[in-house]
Amino acid sequence: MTRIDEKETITKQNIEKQNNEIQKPKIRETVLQARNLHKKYKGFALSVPQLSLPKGFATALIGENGAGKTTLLNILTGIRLDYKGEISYFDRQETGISGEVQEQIGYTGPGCYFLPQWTIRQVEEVSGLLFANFHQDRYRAICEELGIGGSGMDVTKQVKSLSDGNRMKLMLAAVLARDTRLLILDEPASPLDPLMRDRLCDMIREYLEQGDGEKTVFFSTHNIADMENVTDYAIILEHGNIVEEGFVEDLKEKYVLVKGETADAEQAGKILFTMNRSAYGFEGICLAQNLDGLAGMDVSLETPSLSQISVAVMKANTKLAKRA
Amino acid sequence: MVCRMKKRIKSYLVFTGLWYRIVVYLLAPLAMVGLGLWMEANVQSGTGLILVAVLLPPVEIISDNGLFGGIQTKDSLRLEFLKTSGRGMDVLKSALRMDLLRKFLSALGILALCRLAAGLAGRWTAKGAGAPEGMVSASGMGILLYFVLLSYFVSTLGTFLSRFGDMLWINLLVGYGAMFFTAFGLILLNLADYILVIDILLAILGMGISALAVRVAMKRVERSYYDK
Amino acid sequence: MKLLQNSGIPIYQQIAEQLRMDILAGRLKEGEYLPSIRGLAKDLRISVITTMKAYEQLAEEGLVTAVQGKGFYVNAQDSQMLKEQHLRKVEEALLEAVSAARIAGMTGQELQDILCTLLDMEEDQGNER
Repeated sequence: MTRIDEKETITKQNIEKQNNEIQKPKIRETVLQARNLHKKYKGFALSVPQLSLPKGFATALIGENGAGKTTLLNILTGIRLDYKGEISYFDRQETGISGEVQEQIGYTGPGCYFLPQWTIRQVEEVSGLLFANFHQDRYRAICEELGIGGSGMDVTKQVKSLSDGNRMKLMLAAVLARDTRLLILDEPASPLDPLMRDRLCDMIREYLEQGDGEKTVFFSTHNIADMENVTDYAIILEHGNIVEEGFVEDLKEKYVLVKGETADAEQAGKILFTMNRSAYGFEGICLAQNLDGLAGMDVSLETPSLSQISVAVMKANTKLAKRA
Repeated sequence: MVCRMKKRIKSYLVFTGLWYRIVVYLLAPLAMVGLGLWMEANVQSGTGLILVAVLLPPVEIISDNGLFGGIQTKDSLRLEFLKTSGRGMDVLKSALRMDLLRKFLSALGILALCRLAAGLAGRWTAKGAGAPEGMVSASGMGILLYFVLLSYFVSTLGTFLSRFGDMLWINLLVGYGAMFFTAFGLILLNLADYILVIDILLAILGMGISALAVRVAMKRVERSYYDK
Repeated sequence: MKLLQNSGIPIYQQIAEQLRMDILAGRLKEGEYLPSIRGLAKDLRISVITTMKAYEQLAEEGLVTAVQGKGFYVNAQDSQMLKEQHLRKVEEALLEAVSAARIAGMTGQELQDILCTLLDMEEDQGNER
């Protein structure tokens, strides 16, 4: 029993050590700051010593299923209050969630969001009751544009009879019909078809443009490829810990995609951050600062995509946890 | 004041689906008033009133499954959308309260119609006997109120109990039990001399159970903020 | 603006390059504001940080200046520097032509002839217009 405990501490230390290596990027203006967030479940703990969201940008929360993304977003949105830690929103003095803060935040989530028996029209009515800054006409226009009620725009359609994709669109309509300063979207892309995912990215960019630096989007995803062109800042969450974060352009300079011949694989493996080997050669992600170690090898270097970086970081951390 | 009431009614209506409205506001009252009138006219004066008073609670209890069914269960209606607003819990509270008010008004309206019919039936059967017995007298009103308060109390108690589950059969079972409970409560009619005392007692019980029902439902939903 | 996703050149560099050309060619005039960062990101359907990085690069080069809360405006371009920039471009292009000619085994004279012919052709076209 004691031995297992020891092992676990080693794992944690290792991960923490890895964490410390991440330089917290400098963010000029934040829209939200959290300190020492902790939430424990059976066999899982979310632990975020410090979290800042850059104001005026789209930030992606990347992580595997079960990494704690939904828990973190629920805490930030105020639909979950059982946590330790401090959160400050916007430029407010007092910390914590409040009705005033919630008025400025638009949240969509994968859980039991709307009541299943609500109709499209009733969602409009509830929204009007719940939020002072809800615009009925805008809601209707978005519903119409996204074709939520079908071609005839049937507003008596119930939430439970909508497809997952349409339910997501309805949430977006309800949220975008309000004047908000921060959108928190939990897995907005997953239920959408490719065409609509594209539209979602446009909608996020439009929202950011409207705000002209004042509006911020924070969304989670486990499939970053679809959202890459709309991600400014990335936070990678693994087993309840932030294992990497930064502005995407900076991350793309921090990591390099390396491809090389089988002959060098053994040697390169010691230097690369993560590596995949095949019969024809190897491919991996290298920290830019370690590139010197590859001198003399016949390798090609490329700028990695955010999803390649994310996968590498997640893999490296999973390996680390397993090794210990 | 008017504005606030309007908002409360809106809050309540937002939780009611189309079929719920059709059944509870239209079909059920029509059926019960119709049945009451028919019994009064064709069977015996007073029977319609009794039958409707007994039928009201199960109708309320069973239909509640489509409104707040399961709100007091462990994993509650999560109602995330409500929780994303600072006003969410107020909206829910208003809805729960307005639902109780509506239950009371339904019982009052339906039973008053039946009582009126009972009175008229009395006149028909005893032609020329002057004002039907008990129609406007204090004890007559007391008896009507007794029916209303009894059926409201049993309805509210029944919905409260059945909200601890979200399965329809629970509502059916509780509704079935409520019928007997009400019938049993009607035995108190024998104490007609003390009807005012009984009315006051029932009113207190009714208010008590109403307050409890709102409180427990709110507590349960608020607890879902804390994952307990 | 044309952006190539898989050219190997980072998107921000492509944006910076095209804006640089516009500025140096005078299509974007002194004092004129560049499109807003988020507006351009929306129009090009790329992330805000990418456009921002492009703008910041131009600012570093001294081509534009950032104004807090207002955006980026085009600086006065030093005509000497402009000329040099253009000259460098010409040299680059000619060098490329020279190396291509070497591969093709052409002599210097032949290369000059081609250049003369091209110049003539261009002149003719200009006259027709």
